[in-house]
Order: sequence, then structure tokens, then C-alpha cells
Amino acid sequence: MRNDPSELSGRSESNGIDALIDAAARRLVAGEPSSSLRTSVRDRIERRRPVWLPVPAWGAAFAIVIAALIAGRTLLDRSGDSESVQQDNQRAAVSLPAVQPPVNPGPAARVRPAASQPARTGARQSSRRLADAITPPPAEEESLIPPLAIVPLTTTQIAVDTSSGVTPIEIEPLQIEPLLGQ
Amino acid sequence: MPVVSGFSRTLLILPDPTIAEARRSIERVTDEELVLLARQGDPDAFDQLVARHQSAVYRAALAALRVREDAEEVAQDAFIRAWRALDRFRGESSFRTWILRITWNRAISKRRGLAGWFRRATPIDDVAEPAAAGDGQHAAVQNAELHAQIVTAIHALSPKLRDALLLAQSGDYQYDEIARMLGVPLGTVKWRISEARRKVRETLATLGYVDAK
Repeated sequence: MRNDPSELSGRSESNGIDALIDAAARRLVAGEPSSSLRTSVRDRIERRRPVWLPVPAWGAAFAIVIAALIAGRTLLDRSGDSESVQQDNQRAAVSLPAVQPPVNPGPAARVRPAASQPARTGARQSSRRLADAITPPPAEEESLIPPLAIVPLTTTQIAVDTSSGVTPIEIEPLQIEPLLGQ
Repeated sequence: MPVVSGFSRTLLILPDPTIAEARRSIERVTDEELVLLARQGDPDAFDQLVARHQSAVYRAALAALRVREDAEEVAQDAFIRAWRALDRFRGESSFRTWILRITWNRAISKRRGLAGWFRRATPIDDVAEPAAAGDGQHAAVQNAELHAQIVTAIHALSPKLRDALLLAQSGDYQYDEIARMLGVPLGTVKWRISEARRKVRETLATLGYVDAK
């Protein structure tokens, strides 16, 4: 199967060096593949496809989309809750001056400045909403809560039955006599 | 066709005298028959095709890549691709030509990769040759030097000339096979091989090793 160099170069004077060139080229591509080549090919063609492979790719994509929707909805719910809490607080803060005497408005103004401030950036607002959601209600809101009317407990007196044969104990007062002789 | 059916499975369980007979029967099975069996999902038949052509496939990849690990990887990949594409093999050419074409395309794709280029920039095992046995120590050193210069000159050839020369000298392919592998006319292959030799001779002449003729 070896190709004949003389087929291409007819000059006999160049055959010697051509033979050297061919020999060098031959050594560059000499060698056999390792024995693992055949076994590797065999292993790969006989390897079974994993069970999950027939699942189409869109199935995985669909699952990812569903997971993203659920996560997004959860986040929206959280931010909606904090927003409603914030709106309630804002309403309370706005209605505060009508109820509270203007003697001590300081804490309310410090605690709830968002009601009177312009809109901020989205990131700051969202972080603010989260902070609002976890902070306790301000002091002026507590004052809006009507005080509880505590009704005094009524007790009924139990009559002691003396007919059971139990005689009441009579305790005589102690008489202490002073020590004599001293 | 019934003769070849299930031949290699039988090979595993037969006693020794029959194994020898089975081996002789395997040698009589043509590639076309093995391809038909492989198409029906017989891995043994395809394994036999691999055994027959793995050397030619490996050397074709080695001619393109010049790194043995890369050549083996490409050879394996080519066989796997052939297995998966057997249904599309129409038999217009031989299986050998087909698998060589797949191998060459894969090897060229890999050669275009940057990582492969870096690795081939520092070949490790193709220049350091043992000194050939000559008349004396001086002649051996001269031969080794000349060989190293020839190898360097071959590496310096353009890829088209070098590919043709290395494929022709691998001992596995006829010129017409090389032409089909490279996708060029037969005359072009012959010209490239001749031109490759001429360029190497020219380089050696510049270095003072041989006549410039």
C-alpha cells in the first residue's frame, strides 16, 4: 500500500534525499493506537442512555419557568404585605395630628418620615418596606387604641356551714406575764 | 449473509478449534456485510470494523494533529460519530473512505482550536530521534542532525503540503484515498506531495545539507 516516491519525482539524483524526507515523514506518523481505543469505542456504543435523557429539553425549561414563577410570586406577596403595612402606617401617621395634641409630635415625625418625603429609588423603597414590615408600631398609633375598660370582678361570698359538726376553733389570746426578779 | 450473523458472539463461547475457524470466517466477512449488521444494532460487527480500521483512522488524525493523545481522541470520536450515523451511510463509497473522511474533518476541526495550536507549537516526541546507526559516530551525529532538520522543514510546510506528505507516507492510504479524504482531485494530491518534497529539499539546500537541485 506504500506509495512510490519515484512516481512523483522522476529524477534519480533527488531520490536519495526524497527517501530521507519520506522516512522522516513516515516516522512522524508512525505508531499504533493504544488498545484502549477499541474498548473505549465499544463501551461508548454499548452504554445505555440514561433514563432522564428521553425527557425533552422543554420539560426542564418548563420546570424552571414554573419555579421562577413561584419564587417571583412569593416575593411579590411579601412586598405586597409590607406595602399594605406601610400604607396602614402612613394613614395612621397622617391622621395623627387630629387626635394627638401638638405638644409632642417629635417621635412620630422621627419614626414615620416616609409619609412626608418624596418617592425614592426602587431599591431604597423596597428595603424600606422590609424594614417597615418588621419595626414595631410607633407610639402615636398606640394612643389611638381605646383603653380597655376593665370590669371589676364580682365575687360571691360562701356561707360557712356549721351544721356539719365541725366546731370552730376558738383561739384565746395569749397572756404574757412579765418576768419577775429582774 | 446468514454465515456472518452473530459471528462474534459465537466467538466468545466456542472452544479453541472453532475459534480459529471463526476467525477465518471473520476475515472473509466484508466491510459492507459488517456495516449491514452494525446498522441493525450489532455492536460486535461495529467492533470488528473498528479493529480493521483503527490504525488507518489513528494515523490520519496523527498526520493532522501530530499529538498522539489528540489523535486518539479524534479517532475515538470519529468511530462514535460513524456508529451514530450508520443509517445515513449510503454505501456510495467504502466504509474505510467514509470513516477516514469523518476522521479528517474532525481532526481539522480540532486543529483549528487554539489549545491544539499551542500544544503543537512545542512538539515533544517527533524531533528527538535516536541517532541512526551509521559507519561511525560522526556519521550517526550527522544523520541525526539531518533528520532533525528534515523534521523541522516538514513542520514549516504549509498545512496543505504537509498533510498530503504525511498522509502519503503513513503507509495506510493510496493517493486516491488521500484525494477523497482531503476533498481534492488526485492530481492535486500528487502535486502537493511533490511540492512538499521540493520545499523540504530547498530548505535543506539553504542549510547546506544537500544540493539545491
